[in-house]
Amino acid sequence: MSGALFSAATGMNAQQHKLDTISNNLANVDTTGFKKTRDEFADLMYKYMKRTGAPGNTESGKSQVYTGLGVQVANNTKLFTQGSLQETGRELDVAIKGPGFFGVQQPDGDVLYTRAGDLHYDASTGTLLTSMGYPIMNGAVPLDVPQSTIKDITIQPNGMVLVNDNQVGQIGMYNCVNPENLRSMGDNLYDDTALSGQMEVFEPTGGPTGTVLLQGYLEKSNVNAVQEMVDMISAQRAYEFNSKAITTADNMMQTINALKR
Amino acid sequence: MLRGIYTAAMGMLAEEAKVNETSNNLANVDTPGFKKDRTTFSTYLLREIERTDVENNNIERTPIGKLESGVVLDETEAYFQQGDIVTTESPYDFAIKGQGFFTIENEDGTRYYTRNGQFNRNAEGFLVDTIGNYVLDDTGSRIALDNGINVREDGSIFEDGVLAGRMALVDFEEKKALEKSGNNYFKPTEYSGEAEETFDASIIQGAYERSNVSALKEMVNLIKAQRHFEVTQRVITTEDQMLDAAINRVGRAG
Repeated sequence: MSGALFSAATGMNAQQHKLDTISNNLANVDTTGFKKTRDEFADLMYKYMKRTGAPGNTESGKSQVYTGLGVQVANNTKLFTQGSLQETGRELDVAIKGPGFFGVQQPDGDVLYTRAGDLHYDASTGTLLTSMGYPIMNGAVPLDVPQSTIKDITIQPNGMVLVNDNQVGQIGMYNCVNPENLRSMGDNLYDDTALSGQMEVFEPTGGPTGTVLLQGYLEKSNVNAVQEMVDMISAQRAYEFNSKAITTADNMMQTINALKR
Repeated sequence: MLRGIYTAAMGMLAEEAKVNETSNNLANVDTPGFKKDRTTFSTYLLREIERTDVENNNIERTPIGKLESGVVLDETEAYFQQGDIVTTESPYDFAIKGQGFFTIENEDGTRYYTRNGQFNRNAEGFLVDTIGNYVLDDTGSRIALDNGINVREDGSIFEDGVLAGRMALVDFEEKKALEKSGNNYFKPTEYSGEAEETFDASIIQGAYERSNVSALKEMVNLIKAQRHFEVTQRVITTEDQMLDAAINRVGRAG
């Protein structure tokens, strides 16, 4: 009976975790450049009471008796599907169509990565900042945009930045082998990990599968609210099923207890 | 009388195993590619009951029926019924329609077989499963994703429009003898037969197979197990009362 108790508990834990993930996706349904996360489940070990071919097994030797021990959350994956592109008409909104990330410099000098392109211009330092105030990178240094008004800044599809039709630099685009395993750092930022592979600069080439930067657009979150709601319902029900298994195991233990008066 | 107590206790033990199994099925109601388990029971120590007649100094035994002395677990079997296929937005999700398994290899070269098609890409650019082990093609090599991947229904892999092999899709002669080893894996045993390439199943990219556990059936199983448990418990307490009567009250006058 304790087997039933514990495997049902693992089921409740896993569904709880899934609900946490769904809630976070839903909370970010309107976050620029947000990429949704998915929980991936796998079953736990099995306890074998009788194996195939074991001595004393039935005539064929093929039969086995085992019990499973429950379920685990084996992996969290981010889905880097394209979010829908919304036209804003604002000069410093830049959406990335296709794979890739902006590099942003942190106060400590580290570079993190983002897809949120709602940029701002800091005239005092001549840099383009993200909404959280971090400068956008151009290669190894922050992009330098000389004194100008926002109206004069043009960003070309390949990332080239023009001020009054003079090239002043390029918005650096970065990508890694396996963005699904980037670590989320909050503030729309990602850091590369051993699993994701090193971030490297690349040239946005455009074309049907290539990357282009779109000035005057924002990339919306790729969370599909309907899908998340459906997943939430199914997670809640699965949670309840598992709690019923626990109640049943509990009742049965009570029955055992009533054996001896 | 004591035999009845043991027979009923065996019934309770069997239902306990049933609840453990149901509970595991329910815990995995949301595990991709999971195949539900069913434990079957068999009767234990079947005995012939005979009537003994003595006629003309001949002892004659006539069978009048059978008596079973309880129930034991016979075998646990995974049901390989197709689970629902749901579409996703990930190009690395694959579902098998029909009978068959994906072939997975870990770093040590041990092969496992799975129906869970929620795959990912790892840092080296290979197709890996949820745990991070490699998905193999029909030649036994890892599947590289440098140029994207496009898998047709028959399992053939196209990289950049060029045919680059076939996703390994295998089946076993005796699936019920496969061993479940966790992480959605099945492992061949001496009696399952070798993995053989199959062409009966098709692969769907951008979808995965859900668990084939039906919550409704498992709930019914829970109710059944609990009630049967209570009934056999009642048998034991009744036997106990009868013993009590036999020991303490038989032969007492008044």
